[in-house]
Amino acid sequence: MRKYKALVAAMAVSLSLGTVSAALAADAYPSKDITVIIPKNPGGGTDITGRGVINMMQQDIGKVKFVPVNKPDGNGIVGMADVAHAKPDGYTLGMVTVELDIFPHQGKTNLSYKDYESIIAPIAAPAALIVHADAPYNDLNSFVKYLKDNPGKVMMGNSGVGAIWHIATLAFEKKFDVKVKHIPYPKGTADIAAAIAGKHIDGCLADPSSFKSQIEAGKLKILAVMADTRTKMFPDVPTFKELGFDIAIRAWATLVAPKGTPKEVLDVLRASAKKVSNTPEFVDYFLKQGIDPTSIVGEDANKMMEVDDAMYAEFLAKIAKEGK
Amino acid sequence: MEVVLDAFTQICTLQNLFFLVIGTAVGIFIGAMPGLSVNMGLALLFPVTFSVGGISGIVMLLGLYCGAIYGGSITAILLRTPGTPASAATTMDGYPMAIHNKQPGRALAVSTTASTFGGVFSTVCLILFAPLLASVALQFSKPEYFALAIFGISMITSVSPGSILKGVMGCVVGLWIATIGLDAMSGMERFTFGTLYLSGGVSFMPILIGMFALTQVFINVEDNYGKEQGRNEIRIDSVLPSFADLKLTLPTLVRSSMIGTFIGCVPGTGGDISSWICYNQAKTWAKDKSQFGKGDPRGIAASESGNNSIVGGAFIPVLTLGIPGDGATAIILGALMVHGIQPGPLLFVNNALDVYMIFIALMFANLVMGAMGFSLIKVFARVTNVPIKFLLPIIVVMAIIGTYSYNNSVPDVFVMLAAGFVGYFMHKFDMGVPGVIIGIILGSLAEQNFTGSLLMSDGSLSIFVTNPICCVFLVLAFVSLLSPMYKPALKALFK
Amino acid sequence: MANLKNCNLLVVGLSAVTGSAIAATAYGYGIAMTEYGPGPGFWPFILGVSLLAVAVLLLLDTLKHSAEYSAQEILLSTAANLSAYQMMGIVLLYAVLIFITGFYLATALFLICAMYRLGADNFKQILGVTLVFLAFIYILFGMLLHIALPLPIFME
Repeated sequence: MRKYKALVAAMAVSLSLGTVSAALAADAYPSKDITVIIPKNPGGGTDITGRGVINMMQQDIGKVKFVPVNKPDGNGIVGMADVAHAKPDGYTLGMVTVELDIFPHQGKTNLSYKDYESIIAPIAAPAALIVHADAPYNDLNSFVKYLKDNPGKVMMGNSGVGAIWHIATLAFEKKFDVKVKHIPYPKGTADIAAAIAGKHIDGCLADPSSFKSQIEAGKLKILAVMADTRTKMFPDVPTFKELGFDIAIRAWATLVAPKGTPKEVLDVLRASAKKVSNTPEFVDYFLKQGIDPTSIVGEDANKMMEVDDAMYAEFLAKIAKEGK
Repeated sequence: MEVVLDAFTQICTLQNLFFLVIGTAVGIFIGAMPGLSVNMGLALLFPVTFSVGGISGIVMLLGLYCGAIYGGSITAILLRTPGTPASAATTMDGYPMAIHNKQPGRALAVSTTASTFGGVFSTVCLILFAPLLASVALQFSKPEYFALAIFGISMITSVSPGSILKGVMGCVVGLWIATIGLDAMSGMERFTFGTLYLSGGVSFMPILIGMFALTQVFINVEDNYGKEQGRNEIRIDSVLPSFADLKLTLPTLVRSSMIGTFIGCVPGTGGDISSWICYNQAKTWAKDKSQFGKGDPRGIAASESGNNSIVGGAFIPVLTLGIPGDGATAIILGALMVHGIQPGPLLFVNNALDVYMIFIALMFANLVMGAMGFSLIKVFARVTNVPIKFLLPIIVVMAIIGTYSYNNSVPDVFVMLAAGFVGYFMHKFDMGVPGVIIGIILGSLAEQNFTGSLLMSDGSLSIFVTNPICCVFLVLAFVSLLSPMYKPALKALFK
Repeated sequence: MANLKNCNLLVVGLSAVTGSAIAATAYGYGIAMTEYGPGPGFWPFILGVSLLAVAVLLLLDTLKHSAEYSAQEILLSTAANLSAYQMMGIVLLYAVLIFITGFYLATALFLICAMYRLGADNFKQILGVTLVFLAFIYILFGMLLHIALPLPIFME
């Protein structure tokens, strides 16, 4: 009996010593593992992107591990809130998505882009207009004409009412003064791809990564993208801007730190991110998965979040006034 | 033909085999632990696929996928705790056989055989019929998904242990639980009582773990009160299933594997739905139903071959269309793409070598899973020898860890506890748990496709009857739902 | 002692109330057809009404088999049941404790307590199992999987 008591006592002492010493360690940043909160389920687009980026940054910085933690509760709001309220010492980071700019204007949260400092936005997937290859229209203008001739009949898929691709379709309707039928596919863009390929709906405005293999096989075609510049994946596809319609809607995911994180810490992270995002491995990793990689670092990413926030604020207010 | 041989030699390297074994072992472990999900394991090992060269990483992920679906059956049989949702149906006959009939070795043998059979069968279907099945999968639109969901829900009248009415009641409650949260079809939040946690919906895993693991702990505490606890001396003589068992379960294995492969190739449906449908079908077609729920090997065989045959089926839309069926296949799809294999309609045309390599890798993954399973049965069965007084508290701790690590969420743990308490009383009141589980699994599939179908048809119900596949499933569902009413009458007629 | 009839009636009552509540709330969400298909309350309304309907069916069934069900006893307050309720209480306390004193300490306390209540009397064995198990958890979740388990409140 005494032996066991001694054993327990020894373990207790060593455990407490361990914790104390860890707390006392005050080396240069980073000196211990960094937690990255991902507000989505494992395996989804944001998750794979986040894990890819932090994996590469981990190899670059070398000394510590980046530990991803998935917190999809409450549509991701809980996870994003945890990052915003975490101690701004650089050891808790997170991914935030474009929903951060949309939810506040739908009354779902008080969080906003102002609660974070960006490190890097590795993806900013634009909404692409995708239709079936057999469709009678081959470019944006003929599609719009078709819509005007068939008001309310053309079925466009989205990933959920109030979510980004639905908003993109609403913006499209407004810009071209047309009416479509919105068909939500809450499980995601893969279902939309199957639906268009099976000719159950007519098209969609969504990020093209889930449709890549179908497009390359010639079963689906992509008419235009809502971006400022052409995508690397489909360099032959014109942007809405080129065709005369200035509309850009993108689904981004940004690696962020809580507001108030010291500049030295942010600099280390941003420098590493910038370096990593310009390597061919980075570009390769994303391109192969059908995601257009971007390298929007630091203040540029902050600006992007701010610009999109203003756009959604204005747009959603307009929609609310007209009464969806 | 040389392409096949070429692919074979490329796969059969020591490195590939090594990573396959590791992936499968990790997969079986993740599958067995409640709360550790397949997707989490795949996401964890995804970066490793870059460090290892060639196709080894893909092979490892395939092993993990197969192993995880199999692993869930181990805890389902020994502890009545499905390690993954796909093994929930295995608890119905697996646990009684292992614990009440004191035949854990037999239960594990049947389960391992069924899992391997299902996996191999579906891989063969993948190789032979992929394009054909893919074109069927493309026919599925919202009405068809709705009909499939209703078909799954209609199982409730024949699968409920205990009172059928109370089983239906549980199912309706389960369907309602699935509606809690943000409704993606309308953008509105329902039944959330203003809390942030509920706006994302009630997590399924905590309820599953609570109602199975925790409830069983409380039942065991009650059953073992005041009893002298001798040591169980279970000895396993043979890890392979007996010839009699094989003969008995063969029709079930084939039938369930066919159903599972089909359900697997429809994107968006998985092992959890398939295992229940197969279990129900096994019960329907069995001449002697009396042992179902008490340890009938066909129940175990149906559920396990039904969920493992999802694997081959799920790769059909992935490889032929480039469209993933669920989160797990989405990750594997990503891994394939990063390694330069572009699934989709062009894959079979341009990269025949890659295709055959995947087929062979998948076949090996299933065989390795089976081999590991059989070799570990003796070890697994030892769990039943652990005295209850040590085992039960450990199960409680594992349930809590599993629940917490699933979403890193504190409220989840308390939901799990609540489900455990409620499950205990449900058991007391002769109210079966499968109903609630089936309701939660199928609730959003049913509702979102119901609403979506009406949206597509502008409110006309005719959309459900004009589509042939939808019609077929609805009729089957109707027949199945009312079976307890007319079956006795039919029997009397034909006597 | 409760019997099956009384329990059934209790279940009927609970589900009737729940069903009505669900139907009423769903009605409030709107069940009319909108631009986005049937209103968000449509399906839950159907569910609420179904629950009510099944409750009525169960009531009829219970009344029909009244004598038979009254005879079936349901044990809810025997000593065996009480031990189950005790365990429920201990588990609840344990869960709350995890988030106050941290995972490892709460688990150690729980394991020792629960094993003792289940009849283990060899203290050496209890401690041994507890320590080995905690070490296993630490290696698996802490070191290999990097899944953070709750820390004591004063450490966060």
